[in-house]
Amino acid sequence: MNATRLLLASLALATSLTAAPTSFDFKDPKGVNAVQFNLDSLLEPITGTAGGVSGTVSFDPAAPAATSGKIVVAAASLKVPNSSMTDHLIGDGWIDAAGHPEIVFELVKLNNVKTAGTTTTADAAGKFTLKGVTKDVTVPVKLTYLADALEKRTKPGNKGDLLVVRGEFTVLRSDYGIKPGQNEDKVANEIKLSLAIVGTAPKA
Amino acid sequence: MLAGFFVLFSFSFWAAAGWNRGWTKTQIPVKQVDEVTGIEFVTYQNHFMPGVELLALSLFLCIVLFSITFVGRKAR
Repeated sequence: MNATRLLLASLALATSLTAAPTSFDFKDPKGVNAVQFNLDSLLEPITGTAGGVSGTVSFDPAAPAATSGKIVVAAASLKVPNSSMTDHLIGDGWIDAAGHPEIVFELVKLNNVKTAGTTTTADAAGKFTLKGVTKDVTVPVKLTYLADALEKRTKPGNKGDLLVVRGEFTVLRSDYGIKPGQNEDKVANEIKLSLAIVGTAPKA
Repeated sequence: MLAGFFVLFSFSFWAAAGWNRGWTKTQIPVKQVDEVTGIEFVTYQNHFMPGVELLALSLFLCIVLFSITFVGRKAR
C-alpha cells in the first residue's frame, strides 16, 4: 500500500517537474486585442489604439515567475479618431511605420510575482522598442489565467486556455526619437500606454 | 450680411454635429467589452464631427469676408 502511494507521489512529482509551460498566441481572431495610447495635446488628450497585436507568451500557472515572451504591435495599425491625424502619426515625421513597422515589448524577467487564485501580478522587466530605439522598461502587469475558457469565446468543442495580460506604462517620445524637443507645447512628450490583451492556447 | 449668415451657419452646423470642443473627428470610437475576458476594447464608426479648429477657421473666413465688404465700400 505504502509502495503504491510512494509510486503515485513520485509520478505526480515527475509530471509536475516535466510539465511544460503553455504557449499563448496573442493574435486574437476576434480582434479584441489592442494597445491604447494617450498623450495630452493643446485642445484635448489624443487617445488612440493600435490593434495589430501579435506575439507569444509562454506561461505556466504552476510557475508564473518563469513566464517569457514577446508582444509585437504593427506600427501601421495605430489609429486616432481623425484620419488625417492618423496619417500624420504613422508618417515618417512621427512613428515612421514604413521604416520601423514593429513596436515590440520583449519580456526579460518577471519580478515581485504574487499569485492569488487565477491572477498573477508582477513587474515585467523587458525591452521596449519603438521607432528602432530599444530601452529597458518595467511594466506592472496583471496576468489572468482562464483555464478551459477558449470555447466560451470561440465555438463549443474548441478546447483550450486563455491568458489575459493587462498593464500600463509611460514612455517619453523624445527617448525614442519622435520629434525630440519639438512641439511639446502642442503635443506632450509623455505617452501613456495601456494594454489589455488575450492570448489563446488551443489544446490538441 | 453674407458674413453674418456664414457665422450663423458655421456655428449651427458645428453645434448640431455634436458640440465637439476637441479636434475634428472623422471616426467615433465606440467602447465594447469582451464578455469572457472582461477586456474593454474600441471599435470605430465612420462619423464626421467638426472640432473647434474648423469652427475657428470658418469664423476667421467670415471675418475676412466681412472685412472685404468694407474694403469694397471704401474703394467705391
